[in-house]
Amino acid sequence: MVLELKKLSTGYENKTISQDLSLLIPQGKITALIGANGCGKSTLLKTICRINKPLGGDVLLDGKSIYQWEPRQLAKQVAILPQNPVAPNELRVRELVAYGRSPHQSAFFSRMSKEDRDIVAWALRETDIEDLADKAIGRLSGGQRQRAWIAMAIAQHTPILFLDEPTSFLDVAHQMDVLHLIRKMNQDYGKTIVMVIHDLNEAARFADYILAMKKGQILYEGHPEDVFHKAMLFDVFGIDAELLQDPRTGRPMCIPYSLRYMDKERGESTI
Amino acid sequence: MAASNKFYLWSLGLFLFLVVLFFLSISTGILDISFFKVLYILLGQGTEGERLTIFDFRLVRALLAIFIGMGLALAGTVFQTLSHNELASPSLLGINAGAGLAIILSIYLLPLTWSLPIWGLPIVAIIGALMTASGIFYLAYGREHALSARRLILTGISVAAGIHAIELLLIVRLDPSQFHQVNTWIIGTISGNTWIHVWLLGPIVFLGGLFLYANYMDLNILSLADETAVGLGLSLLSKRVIYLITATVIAASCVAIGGSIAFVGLLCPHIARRMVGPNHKYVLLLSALLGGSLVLGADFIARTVIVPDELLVGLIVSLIGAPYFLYVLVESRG
Repeated sequence: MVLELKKLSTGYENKTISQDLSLLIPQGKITALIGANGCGKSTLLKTICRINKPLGGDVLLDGKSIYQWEPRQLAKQVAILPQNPVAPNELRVRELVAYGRSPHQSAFFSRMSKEDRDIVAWALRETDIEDLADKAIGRLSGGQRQRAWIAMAIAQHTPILFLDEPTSFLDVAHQMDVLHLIRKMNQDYGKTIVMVIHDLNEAARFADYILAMKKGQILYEGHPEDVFHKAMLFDVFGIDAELLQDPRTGRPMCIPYSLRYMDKERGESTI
Repeated sequence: MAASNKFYLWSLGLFLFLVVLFFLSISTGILDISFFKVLYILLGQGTEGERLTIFDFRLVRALLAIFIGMGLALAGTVFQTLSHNELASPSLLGINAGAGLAIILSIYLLPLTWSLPIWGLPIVAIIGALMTASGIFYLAYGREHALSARRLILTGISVAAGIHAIELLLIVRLDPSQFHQVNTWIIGTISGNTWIHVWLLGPIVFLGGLFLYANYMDLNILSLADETAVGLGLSLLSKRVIYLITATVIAASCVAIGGSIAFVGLLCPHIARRMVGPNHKYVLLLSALLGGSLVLGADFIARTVIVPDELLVGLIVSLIGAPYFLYVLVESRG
């Protein structure tokens, strides 16, 4: 499944955010979309996912505009985990995960097939929430709830998975859980993953490809080792940074410094 | 216990309850007829008078009570799901208001000599309700959010308020007999209907309910956030419109025949969800059974407490409904 943006313009009725974006999403890779608040990365993700209408241009999946795909067929190819997903509090985890199977079922009188049930069980197992399957969503902790939503998204069994800030509001241990789970989906099942993520070091460590956005435009794109440098961090986020190498993974990482409050922090800026 | 087991227990229990209530209802009245005699009459025996009482009065009334209750409960379930709001109900979408205004207008404008046929009032009410509901959908339709829940609720409330004001203006200009007609309708009553009404309402409620049940998965997904629903391959706008229209037609037909019986559409989905959780595979049927039982039970009480007079059924439903909601509020506070 090849996903391609063709001169895509995003935004709202009277406010263009991105103009003429063209890019190819690397297949079978984890792509991280980074950028400052309000730079248009969530809007871009929503537009690629058909949640927002594009102002111009197109998104092509296997050469065909996603607006020409029949919605349910598209949902078998692309799954989305929105930023703040909401479900009725009393809904059981297993039922929520089963909703992920709906694009694969008949539209009328949907019934769970043996295959559907197996995939739901698999999704619960992969996300390690089997013991929570009969609990109500409203009773889960933040980390458990996020895993339940990921289970629903992977039960959709799509080659492409979009995640909008999957680690926000989670403590650091749960962030690691979720990111390793995402990597597992990529490595074991070859899923193409695109995620909006705020933590730069997590992006550099878990992504194979980085898209760095500013004011609606992609300023840098490439492998973390190639684009994760001082100039990028300055251009995209307006920060000064020290760059290090993660001693375990070898990936680049940064310690950010504010330019505005530089004198409050001892040491010299290198810019 | 799994939701499905709870569902089978509750639905079986409620179904039996409804059947008992049904026979109780058609065998009680000014003319008491024993249960076995009722069966006997239903099979075509008994005197002319008994058959008339059972078939043309009590059976019509009991069936209509059940259909009205089921329809309002089904519509309420759909409105609550689509608006993501447990306090939504048919009246929220201006359906009662629209039907009411149409009825008042028809009583006010038409000359007394020009009386409508027996099925005329329901048709007028359905048209009024549909017009109001489509007006509200149109106003609530935003360019960026396909019929967002919040816009729908806010528009519904303001349009209904406006219509009620117009109704009030018209009501004060009615003469006493016209006023009585309107007032009876507003509080809600199931008496004075015929088999024509049963044949009008029954298929609408049955087919509408079946259609909603066939699409229970869509309704489940619509109860999630918009982004998730889109991600699962749902065309938000067209689906919302389809289910809103279905629910509006069902509710409008019920309101047209039974008057504006409040609380059924609010109460029954609420209780059904407490019984089996939010899955529409279970909620729709339970909500319908609860609605049928509630209105039939209320009608039974309305007919029997002050024999030979009777109360209006809407009054009884409100007497049951209001305390339940206060109870829910008090409970959720702690």
